[in-house]
Amino acid sequence: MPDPRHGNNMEEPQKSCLAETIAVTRSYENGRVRALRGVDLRIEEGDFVAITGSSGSGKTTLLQMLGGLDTPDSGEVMFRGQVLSEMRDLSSFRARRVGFVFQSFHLLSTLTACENVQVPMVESPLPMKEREQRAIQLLEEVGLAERIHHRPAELSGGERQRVAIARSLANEPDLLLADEPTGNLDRESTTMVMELLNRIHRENGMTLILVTHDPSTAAYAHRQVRMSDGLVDPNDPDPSPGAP
Amino acid sequence: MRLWTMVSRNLRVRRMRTALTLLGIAVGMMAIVALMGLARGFENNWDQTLNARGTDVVVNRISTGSPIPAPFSEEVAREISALPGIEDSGGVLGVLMPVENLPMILVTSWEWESYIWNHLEIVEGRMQKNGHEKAVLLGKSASQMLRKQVGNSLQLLGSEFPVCGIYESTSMIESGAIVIPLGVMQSHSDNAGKINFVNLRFSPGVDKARGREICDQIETLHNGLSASLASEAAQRNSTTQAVKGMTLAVTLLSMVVGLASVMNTMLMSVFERTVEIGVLRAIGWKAARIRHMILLEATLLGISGGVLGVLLGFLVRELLYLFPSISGTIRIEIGLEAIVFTVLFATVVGALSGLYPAIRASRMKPTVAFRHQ
Repeated sequence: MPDPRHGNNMEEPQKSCLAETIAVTRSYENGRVRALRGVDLRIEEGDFVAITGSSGSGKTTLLQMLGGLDTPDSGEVMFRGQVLSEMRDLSSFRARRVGFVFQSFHLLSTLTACENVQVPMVESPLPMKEREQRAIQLLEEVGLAERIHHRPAELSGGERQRVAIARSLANEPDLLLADEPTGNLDRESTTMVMELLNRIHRENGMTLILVTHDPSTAAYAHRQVRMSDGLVDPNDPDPSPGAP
Repeated sequence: MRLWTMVSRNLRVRRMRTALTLLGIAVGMMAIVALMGLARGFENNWDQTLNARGTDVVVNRISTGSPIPAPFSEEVAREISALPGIEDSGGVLGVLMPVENLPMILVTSWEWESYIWNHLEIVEGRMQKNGHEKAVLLGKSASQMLRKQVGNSLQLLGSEFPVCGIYESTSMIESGAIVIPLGVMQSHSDNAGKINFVNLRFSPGVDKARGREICDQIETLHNGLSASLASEAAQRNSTTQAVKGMTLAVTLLSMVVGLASVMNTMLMSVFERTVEIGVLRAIGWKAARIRHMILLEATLLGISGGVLGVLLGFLVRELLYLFPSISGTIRIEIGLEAIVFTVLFATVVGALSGLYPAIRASRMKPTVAFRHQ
């Protein structure tokens, strides 16, 4: 009997739970906008989940909850069994456990690719030299070895997003959250970025949650969760990989 | 990559704004450093003058604001010189006035046959023959500024005075002055029987403590007069006091201007970077680090503005010295303490102005990172 709190993916019950939302609600503008209306979602270690849905369905708010950027009005967000709202320092949770990839890349324009990747490491105890080496290594992994000393303005959209992906991996997070990562990219760059995310998931066993409204992007995920009107849509369970 | 890299790039990338902000701080700091240099110049100048004469005590009327104190009766000088411990005295009547092509020059007169005359070294011509001779001695720089030689005549106090001699003095004030006998000055300036300074020399064996007692005695005997030891007279000099007062006023003013200018710049910068700061918060930067970054930027603006201000102070001094009437009479001595004070002050102003923007920045929400630009 599946636990109703745990979303709709019970395919691999032996896997341990990485993140979980339990009856999470969140509203804005004094309750006039109800972004989340009691969301239950369970993310297993090593999952690759796409959250889809029309705009205003609450998918980005849900992503923010999972990433410790926002706290629920009611309900709980758990990470490895710990309640996020009870954590003393959410910024160090974000720094150590979560990597973020944004639709608009959000690289710092004054810094080179290599320096941008080092930005999250400012909070880490790693010595300068090692941070730099790690940044170079990450940029090599995303195929930007030649672009290490370029500023964002000198890079294409796809390249910028790859720098942003390298940055999200800087502190070796357990969970990668991507908000419309291909929303500002052309078809070719979209493919390249999604192949890269897929590879990171496959090779590093990284748990990946991406929010998208593009079916072909969502198709890369192994599991899709459809949001509708602030709730996970129970009528659209689609655990099969590769489905649009 | 260090935090420092981000801080300095943030300032460099908004070049025009940074430059204008720096100018806003620097102009104030320039004024502070120049005025401090001016006060110090006056002090040292005054010090040198009294030393050159061998004067131990200066007596004058307590006055505020005016660089030249008001006159009083020379009878007082006679009474004072009779006090025990005083070996020598000399009455002085000096005024600052425009003479021929110069807008302002010190015309001073000394009691004839007093010790004050002794230190003058005549390099050309001669001294006045007696206390009534209507002739002037010119200091070396005064003769250059006025373009007058021995034998020329000078329009002074409404009549014509021949130049009888040129002297050299280690004191810059005196080197840029016109000297005539006291009696001549008194009769030509409607100041019969008046002086505005008494210079005193102690008898041998009078030490500083005893000297102070004598000064106190003079002040008790003659209400409204101030007697200062030469070593302290420079600081108590009304011009020095006036410049110091001005320095304080300018310091406060530039603090307000600097605070407003840096705070405005930093607030603008913080609001422009709302998304950037949100992203930094989202990817794990603590609020304290954001505050730190903004404070560092503001402090860096302050330090740079201070350094630039000091440099401008030196530049302004050199520009002022291009005018002979200034270079011959005024010294702007920018000492290490003025430089250190100005740069530290600017740094503190910068840091203070960064406080509020830093707090605003650290309260920005990380969720703005999800806004699509």
